[in-house]
Amino acid sequence: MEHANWAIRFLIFLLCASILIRIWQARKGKKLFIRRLPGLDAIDEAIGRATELGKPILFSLGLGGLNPTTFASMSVLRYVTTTAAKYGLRVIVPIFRPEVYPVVEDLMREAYTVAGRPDLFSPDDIRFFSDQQSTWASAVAGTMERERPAANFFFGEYGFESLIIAETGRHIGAIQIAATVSYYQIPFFILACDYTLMGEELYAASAYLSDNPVLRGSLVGQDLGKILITLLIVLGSIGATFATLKGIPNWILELLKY
Amino acid sequence: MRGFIIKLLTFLAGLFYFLEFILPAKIGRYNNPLTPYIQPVGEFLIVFWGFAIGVGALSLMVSHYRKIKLKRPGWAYSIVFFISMIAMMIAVYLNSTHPTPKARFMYELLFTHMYMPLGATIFSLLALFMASAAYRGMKIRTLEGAVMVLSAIIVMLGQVPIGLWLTHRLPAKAQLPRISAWILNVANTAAYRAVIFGIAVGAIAMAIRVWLSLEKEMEVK
Repeated sequence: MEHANWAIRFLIFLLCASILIRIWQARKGKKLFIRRLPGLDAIDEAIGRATELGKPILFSLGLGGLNPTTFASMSVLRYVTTTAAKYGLRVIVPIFRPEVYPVVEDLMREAYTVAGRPDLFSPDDIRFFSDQQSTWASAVAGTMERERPAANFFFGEYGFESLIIAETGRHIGAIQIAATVSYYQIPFFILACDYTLMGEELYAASAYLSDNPVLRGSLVGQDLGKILITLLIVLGSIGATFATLKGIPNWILELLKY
Repeated sequence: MRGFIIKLLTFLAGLFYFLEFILPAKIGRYNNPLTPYIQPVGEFLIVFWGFAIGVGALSLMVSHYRKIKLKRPGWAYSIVFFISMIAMMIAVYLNSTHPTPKARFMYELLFTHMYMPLGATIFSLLALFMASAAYRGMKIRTLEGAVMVLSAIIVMLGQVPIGLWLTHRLPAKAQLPRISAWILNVANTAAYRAVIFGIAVGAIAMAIRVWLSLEKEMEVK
Protein backbone atom coordinates (compact mmCIF):
# COMPACT_ATOMS: atom_id res chain seq x y z
CA MET A 1 0.00 0.00 0.00
CA GLU A 2 1.04 3.58 -0.62
CA HIS A 3 1.69 5.79 2.37
CA ALA A 4 2.04 9.55 2.70
CA ASN A 5 5.48 11.15 3.02
CA TRP A 6 6.10 14.22 5.18
CA ALA A 7 5.39 16.69 2.38
CA ILE A 8 2.00 15.05 1.64
CA ARG A 9 1.17 14.94 5.37
CA PHE A 10 1.94 18.65 5.63
CA LEU A 11 -0.18 19.47 2.56
CA ILE A 12 -3.13 17.39 3.81
CA PHE A 13 -2.86 19.13 7.18
CA LEU A 14 -2.88 22.57 5.51
CA LEU A 15 -5.83 21.68 3.28
CA CYS A 16 -7.89 20.21 6.13
CA ALA A 17 -6.98 23.10 8.44
CA SER A 18 -8.01 25.73 5.87
CA ILE A 19 -11.38 24.00 5.37
CA LEU A 20 -12.04 23.40 9.08
CA ILE A 21 -11.04 26.95 10.06
CA ARG A 22 -13.46 28.40 7.50
CA ILE A 23 -16.23 26.09 8.73
CA TRP A 24 -15.55 27.28 12.28
CA GLN A 25 -15.57 30.95 11.18
CA ALA A 26 -18.85 30.45 9.30
CA ARG A 27 -20.40 28.81 12.35
CA LYS A 28 -19.36 31.82 14.41
CA GLY A 29 -21.47 33.95 12.07
CA LYS A 30 -18.89 35.36 9.65
CA LYS A 31 -20.50 36.22 6.29
CA LEU A 32 -18.79 34.36 3.44
CA PHE A 33 -19.15 35.31 -0.21
CA ILE A 34 -19.85 32.67 -2.88
CA ARG A 35 -19.87 33.69 -6.55
CA ARG A 36 -22.95 33.05 -8.70
CA LEU A 37 -23.07 29.82 -10.68
CA PRO A 38 -25.43 30.15 -13.69
CA GLY A 39 -25.90 26.36 -13.89
CA LEU A 40 -27.31 26.22 -10.38
CA ASP A 41 -29.39 29.36 -10.84
CA ALA A 42 -30.97 27.62 -13.83
CA ILE A 43 -32.31 24.76 -11.68
CA ASP A 44 -35.37 26.79 -10.69
CA GLU A 45 -35.85 27.83 -14.31
CA ALA A 46 -35.82 24.16 -15.38
CA ILE A 47 -38.32 23.17 -12.66
CA GLY A 48 -40.50 26.12 -13.69
CA ARG A 49 -40.53 24.94 -17.27
CA ALA A 50 -41.47 21.41 -16.21
CA THR A 51 -44.33 22.90 -14.14
CA GLU A 52 -45.61 24.91 -17.12
CA LEU A 53 -45.56 21.85 -19.35
CA GLY A 54 -46.87 19.52 -16.64
CA LYS A 55 -44.15 17.01 -17.44
CA PRO A 56 -41.86 15.08 -15.09
CA ILE A 57 -38.20 15.78 -14.29
CA LEU A 58 -35.39 13.27 -14.79
CA PHE A 59 -32.48 13.42 -12.35
CA SER A 60 -29.55 11.10 -13.01
CA LEU A 61 -26.91 10.52 -10.33
CA GLY A 62 -24.45 8.98 -12.79
CA LEU A 63 -22.23 5.96 -12.32
CA GLY A 64 -20.81 6.71 -8.87
CA GLY A 65 -21.35 4.59 -5.77
CA LEU A 66 -21.76 6.05 -2.30
CA ASN A 67 -18.84 8.46 -2.60
CA PRO A 68 -18.41 12.22 -2.05
CA THR A 69 -19.43 13.00 -5.64
CA THR A 70 -22.71 11.12 -5.31
CA PHE A 71 -23.39 12.74 -1.93
CA ALA A 72 -22.84 16.16 -3.54
CA SER A 73 -25.26 15.20 -6.33
CA MET A 74 -27.79 13.93 -3.80
CA SER A 75 -27.95 17.32 -2.11
CA VAL A 76 -28.99 18.82 -5.45
CA LEU A 77 -31.48 15.97 -5.93
CA ARG A 78 -32.97 16.82 -2.52
CA TYR A 79 -33.37 20.46 -3.55
CA VAL A 80 -34.87 19.57 -6.95
CA THR A 81 -37.28 17.01 -5.45
CA THR A 82 -38.46 19.34 -2.68
CA THR A 83 -39.05 22.18 -5.13
CA ALA A 84 -40.67 19.91 -7.73
CA ALA A 85 -42.95 18.36 -5.09
CA LYS A 86 -44.28 21.81 -4.18
CA TYR A 87 -45.50 22.14 -7.77
CA GLY A 88 -46.83 18.58 -7.88
CA LEU A 89 -44.17 17.28 -10.26
CA ARG A 90 -42.73 13.77 -10.49
CA VAL A 91 -38.97 13.28 -10.33
CA ILE A 92 -37.63 10.16 -12.05
CA VAL A 93 -34.25 8.92 -10.83
CA PRO A 94 -32.43 6.25 -12.85
CA ILE A 95 -29.98 4.36 -10.63
CA PHE A 96 -26.73 2.75 -11.78
CA ARG A 97 -25.20 1.47 -8.53
CA PRO A 98 -27.57 -0.64 -6.42
CA GLU A 99 -26.14 0.54 -3.08
CA VAL A 100 -27.30 4.07 -3.95
CA TYR A 101 -30.92 2.92 -4.33
CA PRO A 102 -32.03 2.75 -0.64
CA VAL A 103 -30.34 6.08 0.17
CA VAL A 104 -32.09 7.80 -2.73
CA GLU A 105 -35.43 6.21 -1.79
CA ASP A 106 -35.09 7.54 1.76
CA LEU A 107 -34.00 10.97 0.53
CA MET A 108 -36.90 11.33 -1.90
CA ARG A 109 -39.53 10.10 0.54
CA GLU A 110 -38.28 12.71 3.01
CA ALA A 111 -38.13 15.46 0.36
CA TYR A 112 -41.75 14.86 -0.71
CA THR A 113 -42.82 14.81 2.95
CA VAL A 114 -40.97 18.07 3.72
CA ALA A 115 -42.69 19.68 0.73
CA GLY A 116 -46.06 18.58 2.14
CA ARG A 117 -46.79 16.15 -0.70
CA PRO A 118 -45.98 12.65 0.63
CA ASP A 119 -48.77 11.28 -1.60
CA LEU A 120 -46.71 12.16 -4.69
CA PHE A 121 -43.81 9.92 -3.70
CA SER A 122 -43.69 6.79 -5.81
CA PRO A 123 -40.92 4.19 -5.39
CA ASP A 124 -41.52 3.30 -9.07
CA ASP A 125 -39.89 6.59 -10.04
CA ILE A 126 -36.58 5.44 -8.56
CA ARG A 127 -35.41 2.90 -11.08
CA PHE A 128 -32.40 0.64 -10.84
CA PHE A 129 -31.74 -0.42 -14.42
CA SER A 130 -28.36 -2.05 -14.50
CA ASP A 131 -24.76 -1.61 -13.41
CA GLN A 132 -23.57 -2.07 -17.01
CA GLN A 133 -22.97 1.21 -18.82
CA SER A 134 -24.51 0.32 -22.21
CA THR A 135 -27.58 -1.26 -20.64
CA TRP A 136 -28.04 1.65 -18.28
CA ALA A 137 -27.61 4.22 -21.07
CA SER A 138 -30.19 2.52 -23.29
CA ALA A 139 -32.62 2.28 -20.35
CA VAL A 140 -32.20 5.98 -19.49
CA ALA A 141 -32.58 7.00 -23.15
CA GLY A 142 -35.69 4.77 -23.40
CA THR A 143 -37.15 6.32 -20.24
CA MET A 144 -36.62 9.79 -21.72
CA GLU A 145 -38.38 8.80 -24.96
CA ARG A 146 -41.34 7.29 -23.10
CA GLU A 147 -41.76 9.75 -20.21
CA ARG A 148 -40.74 12.90 -22.16
CA PRO A 149 -39.33 14.81 -19.15
CA ALA A 150 -39.28 18.59 -19.52
CA ALA A 151 -36.03 18.92 -17.58
CA ASN A 152 -33.04 16.62 -17.29
CA PHE A 153 -30.36 16.85 -14.62
CA PHE A 154 -27.13 14.90 -15.06
CA PHE A 155 -25.09 15.12 -11.87
CA GLY A 156 -22.21 12.89 -10.77
CA GLU A 157 -19.69 10.66 -12.54
CA TYR A 158 -20.14 9.61 -16.15
CA GLY A 159 -18.44 7.57 -18.84
CA PHE A 160 -19.09 7.26 -22.57
CA GLU A 161 -22.86 7.13 -22.00
CA SER A 162 -22.89 10.85 -21.16
CA LEU A 163 -23.28 11.83 -24.80
CA ILE A 164 -25.91 9.15 -25.49
CA ILE A 165 -28.22 10.30 -22.71
CA ALA A 166 -27.55 14.02 -23.13
CA GLU A 167 -28.16 13.91 -26.89
CA THR A 168 -31.37 11.93 -26.38
CA GLY A 169 -32.49 14.57 -23.87
CA ARG A 170 -31.73 17.29 -26.38
CA HIS A 171 -33.63 15.38 -29.06
CA ILE A 172 -36.81 15.34 -26.91
CA GLY A 173 -36.42 19.08 -26.26
CA ALA A 174 -35.76 18.98 -22.52
CA ILE A 175 -33.88 21.75 -20.75
CA GLN A 176 -30.69 20.11 -19.51
CA ILE A 177 -28.30 20.88 -16.67
CA ALA A 178 -25.18 18.77 -16.18
CA ALA A 179 -22.49 18.72 -13.53
CA THR A 180 -19.69 16.21 -13.63
CA VAL A 181 -16.26 15.55 -12.22
CA SER A 182 -15.49 13.16 -15.11
CA TYR A 183 -13.37 15.66 -16.99
CA TYR A 184 -13.32 13.75 -20.28
CA GLN A 185 -17.11 13.98 -20.42
CA ILE A 186 -17.30 17.74 -19.76
CA PRO A 187 -16.97 18.72 -23.48
CA PHE A 188 -19.83 16.37 -24.40
CA PHE A 189 -22.09 17.84 -21.76
CA ILE A 190 -21.16 21.39 -22.80
CA LEU A 191 -22.24 20.58 -26.36
CA ALA A 192 -25.44 18.75 -25.49
CA CYS A 193 -26.72 20.57 -22.39
CA ASP A 194 -28.01 24.07 -21.75
CA TYR A 195 -25.89 24.56 -18.62
CA THR A 196 -22.82 22.64 -17.48
CA LEU A 197 -21.05 22.79 -14.14
CA MET A 198 -17.43 21.80 -14.50
CA GLY A 199 -15.51 19.68 -12.04
CA GLU A 200 -15.41 21.14 -8.54
CA GLU A 201 -18.50 23.29 -9.17
CA LEU A 202 -20.48 20.12 -8.50
CA TYR A 203 -19.09 19.98 -4.97
CA ALA A 204 -20.07 23.61 -4.49
CA ALA A 205 -23.69 22.87 -5.37
CA SER A 206 -24.85 21.77 -1.92
CA ALA A 207 -23.28 24.83 -0.28
CA TYR A 208 -24.69 27.11 -2.96
CA LEU A 209 -28.25 25.80 -2.70
CA SER A 210 -28.43 25.97 1.08
CA ASP A 211 -27.72 28.66 3.65
CA ASN A 212 -25.93 26.15 5.84
CA PRO A 213 -22.84 27.96 7.24
CA VAL A 214 -20.90 24.68 7.53
CA LEU A 215 -21.23 24.01 3.81
CA ARG A 216 -20.44 27.59 2.85
CA GLY A 217 -17.42 27.61 5.15
CA SER A 218 -16.02 24.43 3.63
CA LEU A 219 -16.48 25.87 0.15
CA VAL A 220 -14.50 29.00 0.96
CA GLY A 221 -11.95 26.80 2.76
CA GLN A 222 -11.39 24.71 -0.34
CA ASP A 223 -10.67 27.89 -2.29
CA LEU A 224 -7.83 28.53 0.15
CA GLY A 225 -6.61 25.02 -0.65
CA LYS A 226 -6.62 25.86 -4.34
CA ILE A 227 -4.58 29.02 -3.71
CA LEU A 228 -2.12 26.85 -1.81
CA ILE A 229 -1.79 24.38 -4.69
CA THR A 230 -1.44 27.22 -7.21
CA LEU A 231 1.36 28.66 -5.08
CA LEU A 232 3.05 25.29 -5.09
CA ILE A 233 2.75 25.07 -8.90
CA VAL A 234 4.30 28.54 -9.30
CA LEU A 235 7.16 27.62 -6.92
CA GLY A 236 7.61 24.31 -8.76
CA SER A 237 7.79 26.10 -12.11
CA ILE A 238 10.40 28.54 -10.78
CA GLY A 239 12.34 25.63 -9.27
CA ALA A 240 12.21 23.65 -12.54
CA THR A 241 13.32 26.72 -14.54
CA PHE A 242 16.30 27.34 -12.26
CA ALA A 243 17.15 23.66 -12.25
CA THR A 244 17.29 23.63 -16.05
CA LEU A 245 19.22 26.92 -16.37
CA LYS A 246 21.76 26.31 -13.61
CA GLY A 247 22.02 22.53 -13.88
CA ILE A 248 21.04 22.09 -10.22
CA PRO A 249 18.41 19.75 -8.68
CA ASN A 250 14.82 21.07 -8.59
CA TRP A 251 14.62 21.98 -4.89
CA ILE A 252 10.81 22.10 -4.76
CA LEU A 253 10.64 18.59 -6.29
CA GLU A 254 13.21 17.36 -3.78
CA LEU A 255 11.15 18.92 -0.98
CA LEU A 256 7.99 17.13 -2.14
CA LYS A 257 9.85 13.78 -2.14
CA TYR A 258 10.82 14.26 1.49
CA MET B 1 -29.14 7.10 19.19
CA ARG B 2 -29.40 5.53 15.71
CA GLY B 3 -28.02 8.70 14.16
CA PHE B 4 -25.14 8.83 16.64
CA ILE B 5 -24.14 5.21 15.90
CA ILE B 6 -24.19 5.84 12.13
CA LYS B 7 -22.11 8.99 12.54
CA LEU B 8 -19.67 7.16 14.81
CA LEU B 9 -19.29 4.27 12.35
CA THR B 10 -18.79 6.69 9.47
CA PHE B 11 -16.13 8.54 11.44
CA LEU B 12 -14.33 5.34 12.48
CA ALA B 13 -14.39 3.93 8.93
CA GLY B 14 -12.95 7.19 7.58
CA LEU B 15 -10.39 7.32 10.36
CA PHE B 16 -9.17 3.81 9.51
CA TYR B 17 -8.34 4.67 5.89
CA PHE B 18 -7.00 8.11 6.83
CA LEU B 19 -4.61 6.78 9.48
CA GLU B 20 -3.52 3.86 7.29
CA PHE B 21 -2.43 6.35 4.61
CA ILE B 22 -0.96 8.98 6.93
CA LEU B 23 1.10 6.61 9.07
CA PRO B 24 4.40 5.51 7.48
CA ALA B 25 4.88 1.94 6.27
CA LYS B 26 7.52 1.43 9.00
CA ILE B 27 7.21 3.02 12.43
CA GLY B 28 10.61 2.33 13.98
CA ARG B 29 10.98 -1.45 14.04
CA TYR B 30 7.27 -2.03 13.54
CA ASN B 31 5.14 -2.17 10.39
CA ASN B 32 2.10 0.05 9.93
CA PRO B 33 -0.45 -1.72 12.22
CA LEU B 34 -3.44 -0.93 9.98
CA THR B 35 -2.07 -2.08 6.61
CA PRO B 36 -2.78 -5.82 7.22
CA TYR B 37 -6.47 -5.00 7.68
CA ILE B 38 -6.84 -3.17 4.36
CA GLN B 39 -7.57 -6.38 2.42
CA PRO B 40 -10.13 -7.84 4.88
CA VAL B 41 -11.95 -4.49 5.05
CA GLY B 42 -11.97 -4.35 1.23
CA GLU B 43 -13.40 -7.89 1.09
CA PHE B 44 -16.07 -6.94 3.63
CA LEU B 45 -17.07 -4.05 1.37
CA ILE B 46 -17.34 -6.44 -1.60
CA VAL B 47 -19.68 -8.69 0.43
CA PHE B 48 -21.67 -5.62 1.48
CA TRP B 49 -21.90 -4.59 -2.17
CA GLY B 50 -23.25 -8.06 -2.99
CA PHE B 51 -26.17 -7.43 -0.63
CA ALA B 52 -26.74 -4.05 -2.28
CA ILE B 53 -27.00 -5.75 -5.69
CA GLY B 54 -29.81 -7.83 -4.17
CA VAL B 55 -31.61 -4.66 -3.07
CA GLY B 56 -31.26 -3.21 -6.57
CA ALA B 57 -32.49 -6.38 -8.29
CA LEU B 58 -35.42 -6.61 -5.87
CA SER B 59 -36.45 -3.03 -6.59
CA LEU B 60 -36.30 -3.73 -10.31
CA MET B 61 -38.49 -6.83 -9.94
CA VAL B 62 -41.02 -5.08 -7.69
CA SER B 63 -41.24 -2.15 -10.12
CA HIS B 64 -41.93 -4.45 -13.11
CA TYR B 65 -44.32 -6.62 -11.08
CA ARG B 66 -46.40 -3.53 -10.21
CA LYS B 67 -46.40 -2.50 -13.83
CA ILE B 68 -47.82 -5.89 -14.89
CA LYS B 69 -50.29 -6.01 -12.00
CA LEU B 70 -51.69 -2.54 -12.71
CA LYS B 71 -51.56 -3.08 -16.51
CA ARG B 72 -49.67 0.19 -16.99
CA PRO B 73 -48.66 1.23 -20.55
CA GLY B 74 -45.88 -1.04 -21.81
CA TRP B 75 -46.59 -3.77 -19.24
CA ALA B 76 -45.85 -6.44 -21.83
CA TYR B 77 -42.19 -5.36 -21.81
CA SER B 78 -42.10 -6.13 -18.11
CA ILE B 79 -42.99 -9.73 -18.92
CA VAL B 80 -40.06 -9.75 -21.37
CA PHE B 81 -37.89 -8.46 -18.51
CA PHE B 82 -38.86 -11.37 -16.23
CA ILE B 83 -38.39 -13.96 -19.00
CA SER B 84 -34.95 -12.52 -19.90
CA MET B 85 -33.84 -12.33 -16.29
CA ILE B 86 -34.91 -15.89 -15.43
CA ALA B 87 -33.40 -17.26 -18.69
CA MET B 88 -30.06 -15.53 -17.99
CA MET B 89 -30.02 -16.71 -14.38
CA ILE B 90 -30.61 -20.33 -15.46
CA ALA B 91 -27.97 -20.08 -18.20
CA VAL B 92 -25.31 -18.64 -15.86
CA TYR B 93 -26.15 -21.11 -13.08
CA LEU B 94 -26.03 -24.16 -15.37
CA ASN B 95 -22.88 -22.99 -17.12
CA SER B 96 -21.11 -22.49 -13.78
CA THR B 97 -22.29 -25.62 -11.97
CA HIS B 98 -22.93 -28.16 -14.81
CA PRO B 99 -20.82 -26.96 -17.73
CA THR B 100 -22.31 -29.35 -20.32
CA PRO B 101 -22.24 -28.42 -24.04
CA LYS B 102 -25.96 -27.56 -23.87
CA ALA B 103 -25.46 -25.24 -20.87
CA ARG B 104 -22.48 -23.66 -22.64
CA PHE B 105 -24.57 -23.17 -25.79
CA MET B 106 -27.39 -21.53 -23.83
CA TYR B 107 -24.95 -19.19 -22.06
CA GLU B 108 -23.13 -18.29 -25.30
CA LEU B 109 -26.40 -17.67 -27.08
CA LEU B 110 -27.78 -15.35 -24.42
CA PHE B 111 -24.63 -13.56 -23.29
CA THR B 112 -22.09 -13.64 -26.12
CA HIS B 113 -24.50 -13.58 -29.07
CA MET B 114 -27.35 -11.46 -27.67
CA TYR B 115 -26.29 -9.30 -24.73
CA MET B 116 -22.84 -8.30 -25.97
CA PRO B 117 -23.93 -7.23 -29.49
CA LEU B 118 -26.73 -5.19 -27.91
CA GLY B 119 -24.14 -3.44 -25.72
CA ALA B 120 -21.92 -2.83 -28.73
CA THR B 121 -24.89 -1.39 -30.62
CA ILE B 122 -25.52 1.16 -27.89
CA PHE B 123 -21.80 2.02 -27.84
CA SER B 124 -21.80 2.50 -31.60
CA LEU B 125 -24.55 5.12 -31.27
CA LEU B 126 -21.77 7.35 -29.95
CA ALA B 127 -20.45 7.86 -33.48
CA LEU B 128 -23.74 9.39 -34.60
CA PHE B 129 -24.19 11.46 -31.45
CA MET B 130 -20.59 12.68 -31.62
CA ALA B 131 -21.06 13.86 -35.19
CA SER B 132 -24.27 15.75 -34.36
CA ALA B 133 -22.71 17.28 -31.21
CA ALA B 134 -19.55 18.26 -33.10
CA TYR B 135 -21.65 19.87 -35.84
CA ARG B 136 -23.38 22.03 -33.22
CA GLY B 137 -20.07 22.82 -31.53
CA MET B 138 -18.50 23.91 -34.81
CA LYS B 139 -20.94 26.77 -35.34
CA ILE B 140 -19.09 30.04 -34.80
CA ARG B 141 -21.23 32.41 -32.76
CA THR B 142 -18.69 33.99 -30.41
CA LEU B 143 -14.97 34.72 -30.30
CA GLU B 144 -14.47 31.72 -27.99
CA GLY B 145 -16.36 29.57 -30.51
CA ALA B 146 -14.06 30.77 -33.29
CA VAL B 147 -10.95 29.93 -31.24
CA MET B 148 -12.37 26.47 -30.54
CA VAL B 149 -13.13 25.80 -34.21
CA LEU B 150 -9.67 27.01 -35.27
CA SER B 151 -8.02 24.76 -32.66
CA ALA B 152 -10.18 21.83 -33.75
CA ILE B 153 -9.23 22.32 -37.41
CA ILE B 154 -5.51 22.54 -36.54
CA VAL B 155 -5.66 19.44 -34.31
CA MET B 156 -7.61 17.43 -36.87
CA LEU B 157 -5.30 18.41 -39.75
CA GLY B 158 -2.28 17.79 -37.53
CA GLN B 159 -3.32 14.18 -37.01
CA VAL B 160 -3.47 13.27 -40.72
CA PRO B 161 -0.73 13.26 -43.42
CA ILE B 162 -2.37 16.07 -45.38
CA GLY B 163 -1.62 18.44 -42.47
CA LEU B 164 2.10 17.84 -42.85
CA TRP B 165 1.88 17.98 -46.64
CA LEU B 166 0.12 21.38 -46.53
CA THR B 167 2.79 22.93 -44.32
CA HIS B 168 5.94 20.95 -45.17
CA ARG B 169 7.60 23.98 -46.76
CA LEU B 170 7.25 26.04 -43.55
CA PRO B 171 9.81 25.95 -40.70
CA ALA B 172 9.38 22.87 -38.46
CA LYS B 173 7.85 24.90 -35.62
CA ALA B 174 5.11 26.28 -37.89
CA GLN B 175 4.06 22.92 -39.31
CA LEU B 176 0.56 21.74 -38.44
CA PRO B 177 1.57 18.50 -36.62
CA ARG B 178 3.85 20.52 -34.30
CA ILE B 179 1.16 23.13 -33.57
CA SER B 180 -1.38 20.37 -33.08
CA ALA B 181 0.91 18.59 -30.61
CA TRP B 182 1.46 21.88 -28.75
CA ILE B 183 -2.30 22.49 -28.46
CA LEU B 184 -2.86 18.94 -27.15
CA ASN B 185 0.15 18.66 -24.85
CA VAL B 186 0.41 22.21 -23.49
CA ALA B 187 -2.84 24.22 -23.76
CA ASN B 188 -5.21 21.26 -23.46
CA THR B 189 -3.24 19.47 -20.74
CA ALA B 190 -2.94 22.68 -18.69
CA ALA B 191 -6.72 23.17 -18.78
CA TYR B 192 -7.37 19.52 -17.86
CA ARG B 193 -4.90 19.67 -14.97
CA ALA B 194 -6.55 22.83 -13.65
CA VAL B 195 -9.89 20.99 -13.66
CA ILE B 196 -8.30 17.96 -11.96
CA PHE B 197 -6.77 20.12 -9.20
CA GLY B 198 -10.12 21.76 -8.57
CA ILE B 199 -11.86 18.37 -8.45
CA ALA B 200 -9.24 16.96 -6.07
CA VAL B 201 -9.53 19.86 -3.61
CA GLY B 202 -13.33 19.85 -3.90
CA ALA B 203 -13.39 16.09 -3.26
CA ILE B 204 -11.23 16.53 -0.14
CA ALA B 205 -13.60 19.20 1.20
CA MET B 206 -16.61 17.01 0.42
CA ALA B 207 -14.92 13.97 1.99
CA ILE B 208 -14.26 15.94 5.19
CA ARG B 209 -17.94 16.97 5.32
CA VAL B 210 -19.06 13.35 4.84
CA TRP B 211 -16.44 11.98 7.24
CA LEU B 212 -17.45 14.40 10.01
CA SER B 213 -21.16 13.98 9.11
CA LEU B 214 -21.49 17.69 8.39
CA GLU B 215 -23.23 17.05 5.07
CA LYS B 216 -27.04 17.25 5.04
CA GLU B 217 -27.22 13.83 3.34
CA MET B 218 -25.50 12.26 6.38
CA GLU B 219 -28.24 13.38 8.75
CA VAL B 220 -30.25 10.49 10.17
CA LYS B 221 -33.77 11.13 11.38
